[in-house]
Amino acid sequence: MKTLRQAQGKKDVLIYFDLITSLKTTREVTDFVSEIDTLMNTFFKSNKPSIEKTLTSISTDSARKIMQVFSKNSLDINDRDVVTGFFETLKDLLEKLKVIKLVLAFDPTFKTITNIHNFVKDTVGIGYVLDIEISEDVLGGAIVMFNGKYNDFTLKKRVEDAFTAKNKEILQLYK
Amino acid sequence: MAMKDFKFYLDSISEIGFVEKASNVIVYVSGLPKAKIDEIVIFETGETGIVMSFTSEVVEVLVFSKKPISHGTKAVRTNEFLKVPVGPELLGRIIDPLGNPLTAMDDYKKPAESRGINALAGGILSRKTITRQIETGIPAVDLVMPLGFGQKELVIGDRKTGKTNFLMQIILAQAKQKHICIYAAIGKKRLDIKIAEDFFKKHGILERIIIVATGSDSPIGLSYLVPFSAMTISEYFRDAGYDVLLALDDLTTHAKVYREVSLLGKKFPGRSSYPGDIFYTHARLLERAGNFITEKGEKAITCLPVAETTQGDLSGYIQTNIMAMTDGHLYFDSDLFAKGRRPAINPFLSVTRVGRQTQSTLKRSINREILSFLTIYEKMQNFSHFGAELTESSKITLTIGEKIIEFLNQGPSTTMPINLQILLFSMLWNSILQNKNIGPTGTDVNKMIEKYTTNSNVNKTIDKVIANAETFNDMLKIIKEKGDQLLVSLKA
Repeated sequence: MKTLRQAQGKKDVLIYFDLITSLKTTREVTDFVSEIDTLMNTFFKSNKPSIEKTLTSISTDSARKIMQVFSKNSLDINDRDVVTGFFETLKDLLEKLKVIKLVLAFDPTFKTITNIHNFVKDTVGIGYVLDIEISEDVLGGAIVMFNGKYNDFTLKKRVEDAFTAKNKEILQLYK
Repeated sequence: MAMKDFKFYLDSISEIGFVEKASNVIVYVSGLPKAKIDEIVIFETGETGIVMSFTSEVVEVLVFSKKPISHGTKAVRTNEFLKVPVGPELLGRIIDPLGNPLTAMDDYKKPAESRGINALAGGILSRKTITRQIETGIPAVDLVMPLGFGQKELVIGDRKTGKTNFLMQIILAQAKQKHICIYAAIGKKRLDIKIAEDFFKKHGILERIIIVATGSDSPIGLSYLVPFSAMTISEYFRDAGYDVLLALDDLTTHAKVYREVSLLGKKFPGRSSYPGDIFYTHARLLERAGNFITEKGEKAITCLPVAETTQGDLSGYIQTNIMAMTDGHLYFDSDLFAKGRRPAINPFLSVTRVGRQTQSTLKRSINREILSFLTIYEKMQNFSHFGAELTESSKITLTIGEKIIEFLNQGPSTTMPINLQILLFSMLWNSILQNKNIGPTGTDVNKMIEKYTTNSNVNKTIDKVIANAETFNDMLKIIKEKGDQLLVSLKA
């Protein structure tokens, strides 16, 4: 069994890779962070702390992912320091995730979100999550806000631009 | 140029930021990758602010609004820097430092031209030696502590010692001489601003004056900008060919405002918790005043910053800072104020560094005479308190001294032309006024001022008499010969 320090000694922050890449949106990140907090609270309240038992306090999906990471990386699940260190590092990494804010006209399905996230992963790499806002005003397309950059690729903008650029021609149609 | 709205800048600049943290008027915005210092930032809720500093993560923005800005609010940068609208449209107006009307004003249209608020001070080549005396209309200044056009003279004293009234008097005298006056009221009570406005209105000089003001309830970000905005407007009028008088009331309040902004911005506090750059902030402001060579000739910005002291302590941090930046100071003594002296300027604790070089030989000789006489009078007065038997000459000195002190007293609305000051002082010295039972202040003197300012013949005669006198002794000789005649013409 390896301690967390031994795992990290190999600069193996990649042990968090699966967990981080499984999170696609800021909402998922927030939920996951609050699950970690719940888990830690339960873990430290019990007299004989066992992560396996306390995992029942969070969603089965998150619990499964966490267990997978522990077993895949041969981390000692009964070592209190390993568990604490693991979750603290994980939380730090989650705080450092960069947010790409999208404004869409529709409520995207899970598949759409996965597709967009995969596109981001392929284009710029890992460490990015999506913050999706739904606004029917934009009609279609998307507004992308990232690193302080603002790009409006919406149908609303196109229509407005068309009306501004071809104002005279449009008015002619109604004469 | 008028500011556009949030959406315009979002579409045209394509940069966005989000408020991450807000502490009063300082907000921290993430994003805005190309933000620059002093650039204007607009929030989606309509508030504006300027970039104070930035790190790789966040931009620190000073907001010009009292309305709190909440976390997550969107912000855009504008590629525009803090500017103040300038133009003759501002004359007679009360505005905030961004050129918005502070009170309900009819037909006010913001001027189309605007100037950057943080202009650099003109270099040595654009400056000229101060050679023209500024006529304040106050004998205690013009004869005792003369000031020159372009001089920076600190007005310092405890609260309620008549500093603001003194500024009003100087503004009144300057506006009557068709100069432009700018009164910067920093974080003043709204009532005080209204009183100043009423004073200018009452004397019919409001159209030569601009009041740049913020109230004590205004956002501190705006109060911080007041002196810079007022200085920018002064520079505009200087370049337009006017001599400008700028009164900054007061810089101790400004320093406190800047301290608040800096502490909120987590800048490291220095002495008395003021930020390390407080000297630089005031020095770069005051350095913009002076006597300049412009396309329209020699034009000056005369600056009178005010500093408040506590219990007459002249050695305060801000007070000594400003003393180091100015060409002297007029100290308003609370003891003299309590004794009824108006203005309560203490000539022994006041300094004018460049004022005397503007004086003619006659004025300089009068100045010397008054100062040495006042010193003797002061000593003699202290001596007489012991109840000692006084010699005849001492009694005469004390009597003349009393009259001179009385002469240096002045009502808040009276401004006395400098040549009349010289004439009356000389008459007082020769006991001509006393012999005719004419008091050195009051109705008689007011009538003489009226006569001098309205009757060009009297005016010319007196001016000629003074022009012919080289020294004070010459003047006294002339007064001996023609004093009665001149007095008759003034009283006729």
